[in-house]
Amino acid sequence: MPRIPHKLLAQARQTSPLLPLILRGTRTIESASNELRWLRQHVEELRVPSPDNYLLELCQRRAKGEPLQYIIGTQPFGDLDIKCRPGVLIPRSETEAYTIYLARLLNEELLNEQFNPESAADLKITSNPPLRIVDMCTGTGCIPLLLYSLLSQRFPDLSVTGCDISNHALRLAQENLIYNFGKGKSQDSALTKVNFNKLDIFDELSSSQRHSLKCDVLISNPPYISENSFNHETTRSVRNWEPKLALVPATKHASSVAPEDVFYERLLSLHRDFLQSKILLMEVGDDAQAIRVAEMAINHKTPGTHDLVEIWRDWPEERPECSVTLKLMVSGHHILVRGSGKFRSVFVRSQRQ
Amino acid sequence: MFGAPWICRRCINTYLKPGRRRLIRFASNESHGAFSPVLLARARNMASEHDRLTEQTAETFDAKIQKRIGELKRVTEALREWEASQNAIEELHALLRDPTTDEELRELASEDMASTRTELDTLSQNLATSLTPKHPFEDMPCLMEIRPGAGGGEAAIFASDLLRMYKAYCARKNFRLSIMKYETSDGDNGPGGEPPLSEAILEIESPGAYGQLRSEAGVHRVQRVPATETKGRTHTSAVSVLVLPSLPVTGSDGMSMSETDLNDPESDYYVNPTDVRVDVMRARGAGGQHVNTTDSAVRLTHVPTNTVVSMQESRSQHKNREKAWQVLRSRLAQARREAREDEVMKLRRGVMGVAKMGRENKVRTYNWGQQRVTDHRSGLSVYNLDDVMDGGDELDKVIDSVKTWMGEQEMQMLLAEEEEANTTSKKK
Repeated sequence: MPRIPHKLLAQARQTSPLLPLILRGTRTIESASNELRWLRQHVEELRVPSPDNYLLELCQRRAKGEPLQYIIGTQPFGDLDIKCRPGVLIPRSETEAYTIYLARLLNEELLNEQFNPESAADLKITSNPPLRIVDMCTGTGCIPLLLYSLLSQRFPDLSVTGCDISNHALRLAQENLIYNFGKGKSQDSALTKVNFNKLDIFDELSSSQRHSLKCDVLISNPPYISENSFNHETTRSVRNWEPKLALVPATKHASSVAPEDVFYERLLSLHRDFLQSKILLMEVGDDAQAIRVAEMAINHKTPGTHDLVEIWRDWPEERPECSVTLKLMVSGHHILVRGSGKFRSVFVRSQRQ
Repeated sequence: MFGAPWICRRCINTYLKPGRRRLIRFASNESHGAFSPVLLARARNMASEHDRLTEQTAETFDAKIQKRIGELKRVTEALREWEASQNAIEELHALLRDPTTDEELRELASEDMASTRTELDTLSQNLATSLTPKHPFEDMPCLMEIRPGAGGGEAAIFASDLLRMYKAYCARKNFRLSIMKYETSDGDNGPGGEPPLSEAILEIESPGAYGQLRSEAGVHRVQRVPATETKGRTHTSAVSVLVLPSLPVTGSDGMSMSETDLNDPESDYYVNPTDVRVDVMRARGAGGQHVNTTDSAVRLTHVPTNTVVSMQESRSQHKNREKAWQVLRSRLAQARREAREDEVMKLRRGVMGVAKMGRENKVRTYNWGQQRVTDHRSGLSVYNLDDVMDGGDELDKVIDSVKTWMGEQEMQMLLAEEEEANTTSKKK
């Protein structure tokens, strides 16, 4: 990483002696000023005996590259506050964007044909459509918790499950559940409807697991960074401070696809063969990977069924910028590209009998 | 020529200087006992409509009619009171003119007359105020934007002083205030060591805040020796304050903005999403899991009017986006209303010939040397600058004087408009 120019450091020091420290973490004056403001607010809220010393300590930690979210301990996600801890991946704003978009589609019944392929009109009769959602590689549990908060009103018969291989992450997810929903009368309802289970996604599912994880919506933000990309394309604060387990798929899973795509192969298999979900939404790392995953999805489907595959960009609800791709042709199928930004997630909608 | 027996040369020089004339208001505080017949006719019309509608709703309930009745009630009641007072005066007159009444009664009558006359004055005032249409944003909560203007660092310091003043004022008035945006710029630090303010947006969430604070919009001028000044010269700087209606999104104290209002293209509050460009910080490189930046800044650009709103106050991009939309809607609603008022003003200017009080004009001067605050609209000067800067009673006085002045202006406009309408209808 290139060194920060001295002029920038001098400019930062004019505003505050703490700013150059934070600048080493964020590299632009504007974001450093914002971070200093947030750190100050955080220290004020904590009411420690010597706030100035504590603030200096936090800025020194930030200078080493420690992510702000680990220092402050939380990251806003939608209307929730998600606790963060070293050893668990920090929720990203792109993840927030597609989760909110998916919730909107479900709330506004734009995906209705899925729940009853025979006739969408039937849905009107059942005022309590059941909705089951499973999130793989849940980490902090941000996706299940946000979906719960956005969907529980419209879908009283909702159940959301988050699965992860790491006990550490599962403990944090449970903490987040109680931290965000553990007050007042919503408490009991949230604790019964949102669950976190330990699961290695590559293990063969037992029959009881196959039953309990059966769902309508399968969503995941799996590790998708290649070893090479990890070494060259990640920022220092990600590489040195966030768990590699959540970022790069372990090499033990041998398969025919590229090592960074192994999770997608498994997710598509779960979607089609084992969990019978109608919607599958997976976050991807870049354009090339998105196209590979879309191709896998198209080739993976049961012959004779009609699957819809879409690619969503970073902000699926925004209008696309000028002269960007709006549609792709992959293996003879049209794929719609929604929103603006880079390719960020692949959406698959399958007809089920 | 002048009321005083003599005027010293110094005063003549000061007060007849060409620039000075601006301090003279060309309006008097005296109310007129006689009430304009034109306005009276209008009031009578509204009262009869009110009675008619009340009869109608006695049988069937209709929400729209009820709303109209509510609007007309003020005028009707004021009119009734005024008429009652008018009748009382006539009776007293008759009593006084009648030669057969005895001395005692005559004395009582003349005393009564004086008090009834003053009562009539206030009632006429009431009637006139009730006839002027209420500002559509009057009951809404508001956003207040404070921006330093000319004057560099000193203007920024004064801007933060004004911010403190409004915070104190709102606390006293029990208005719920939150700081939506507090942006600082690079530059020399203020006396307290904080970086200079470049833009602040306050959100005052209590209903009726707009009506109370709308007099604060405009350019505030300050004359003092800046803290950064070494030689002790007095500088003049300016700070501009904008007051925008805050459009409540969901039901809050019964002021809910219905979805139809937000989506109705005709409504002031409608913003077409295709007209707005959203800019967010884009990650260099791959994004997603590759980076964990805290960049949550959102910038909305409304292309047709070139209005730009940037928000980076919160760590959540989602929240910044919501707040930015709220500010954008408020600014556009205000701009649209001002544009319509401008058009109406242009028509009226031909009738009235009064200069428009635009955003560019200075509304108030704060002079530290003389400890004086002068509002140029109502003409009021108070000499307790410190109390004003603490948001105390003196500030209340100033704001109330401006509100009265604005009310009078509107009344005069109304009068002129009615007379214009009358003359044109007579011509037909």
